[in-house]
Amino acid sequence: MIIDLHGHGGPYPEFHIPMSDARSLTEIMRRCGVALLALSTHQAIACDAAAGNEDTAGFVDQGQGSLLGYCVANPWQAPAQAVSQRGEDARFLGVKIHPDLHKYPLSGRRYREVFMLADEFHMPVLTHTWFGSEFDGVEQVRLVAEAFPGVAIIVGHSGALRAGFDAFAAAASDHPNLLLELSGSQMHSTVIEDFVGEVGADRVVFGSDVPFIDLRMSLARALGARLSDDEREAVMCSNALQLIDRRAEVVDLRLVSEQLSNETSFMEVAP
Amino acid sequence: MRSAQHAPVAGGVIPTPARGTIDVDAALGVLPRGPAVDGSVSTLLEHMDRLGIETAYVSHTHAWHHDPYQGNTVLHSLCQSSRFIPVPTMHPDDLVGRGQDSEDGHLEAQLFRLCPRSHGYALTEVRAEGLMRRVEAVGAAVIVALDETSWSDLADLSRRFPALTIIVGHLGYRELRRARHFLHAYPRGYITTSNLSSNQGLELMAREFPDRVLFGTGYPLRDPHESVGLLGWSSLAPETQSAVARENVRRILGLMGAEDGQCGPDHLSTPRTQPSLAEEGTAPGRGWG
Repeated sequence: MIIDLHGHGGPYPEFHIPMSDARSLTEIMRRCGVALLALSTHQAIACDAAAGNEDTAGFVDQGQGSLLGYCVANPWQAPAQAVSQRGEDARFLGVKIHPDLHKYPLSGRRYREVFMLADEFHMPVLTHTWFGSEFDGVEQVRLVAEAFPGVAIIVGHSGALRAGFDAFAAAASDHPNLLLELSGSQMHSTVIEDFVGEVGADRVVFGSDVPFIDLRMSLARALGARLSDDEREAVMCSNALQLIDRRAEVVDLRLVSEQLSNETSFMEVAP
Repeated sequence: MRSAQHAPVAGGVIPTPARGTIDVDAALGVLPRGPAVDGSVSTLLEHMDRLGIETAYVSHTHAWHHDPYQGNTVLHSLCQSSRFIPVPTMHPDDLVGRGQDSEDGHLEAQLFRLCPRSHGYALTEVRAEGLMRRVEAVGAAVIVALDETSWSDLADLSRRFPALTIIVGHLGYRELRRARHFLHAYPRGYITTSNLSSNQGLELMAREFPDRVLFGTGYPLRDPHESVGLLGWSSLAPETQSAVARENVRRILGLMGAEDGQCGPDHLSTPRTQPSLAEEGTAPGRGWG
């Protein structure tokens, strides 16, 4: 079973993203053996968080147990309200924040309550990261990891740039609530091997950034990494299941559980 | 390198393409800014064996990042395996006697790599004209990564040298509509799968231009698993997969062994004037938005 913790949906203003609707996403997931995708819509990250989070809920409804949502907290658009509104909504697994896009530092005051509410609702926080960014570079990630040790922080793209992978892995080594996520155009199977060697397989999670990036590119890199079966199982599935289980302490994730229980083990389902 | 046992990719995880797959976009040699690969012949062959790639058109990174002549010389010395077909890197200022011509003045390869941005020129410059004219005259092709040039320069080149076959790789995830326009407008334009990372971009392009998409890994800059996964998990019809995996490149570059007996550069390829997205179960217009 494969769980993808970083996805999106809908159109994006800068370039054409084909087949970004819920049906297309679940089709490509099925073809590749991905059982569950956690996503936020591009509307939510690029423009209007409230409207986009509603769109995300619609995607999840259409996914019938194979999609879960992240509610986007835009620091300029009542971020705490966005999270509190979705804290008890079983369609939402966690919170997505994008400091680079919203031009506001991850450790800034406007995100503080977001992290506190995420802690309260057992929601993981997926943050975009970019090595060298003043908004979501490694120093910013370290600050929030330190300030909110009870929040599982999914480090989107793990810094994205080749030059930054070591620094983000070091941060993850120092902070047990950081999870390195594997999407990004400079990601490589050898980097994934390094991550697992550096921080352990229990601290690395699969994410594809579909449909921003073709799912198969990210998936093939991850499956191509030279990992043991146990390590691969952790990265591709069981670490994500732990996040889902923790979230299920707050909301009823029965539909997702049923979907996942229909799947067999990772190695059996993989195409 | 970690010591964990490697679960064999071909053992049921990434679906490998059919036998006989040809990689049109690979290189030997190390990279100055990563990824950290050793760039050796043995490593590339090991990747090819695991991923079901039979033959690779290869350049050398020395010719890209150091000196075309020296890199081409190294390339030829390393291409002892029949599974490698050398792709010399050309520079417009090195037309004679610098590893790109044989003594009688004929170009030796069917495919040449161009690195305009890294080598400090533009495809549209006057000094590049002689080079392009000669490649066009012998019916050879050029391959260039998109980030080494621009669509406008590629369009200009295509207009000025209409018989020149131009293969563009490393498209990334933002270029789908521009790539579609390029293939529509220029009948001798081709794209590769290397870093063709737009969501389901492979299906959209290969359904509309089944004879214009070529399998390429972009190794070592790109992780070679990417293109293999892209094609292996694709929803393309088997004949389109086969065209992308090997038949198109055989036809274009004249690689011996083409099953259809149509070896030799194809001068008859024509662009489709109407999109054909209704093929293979795709609703008309779906995907282009």
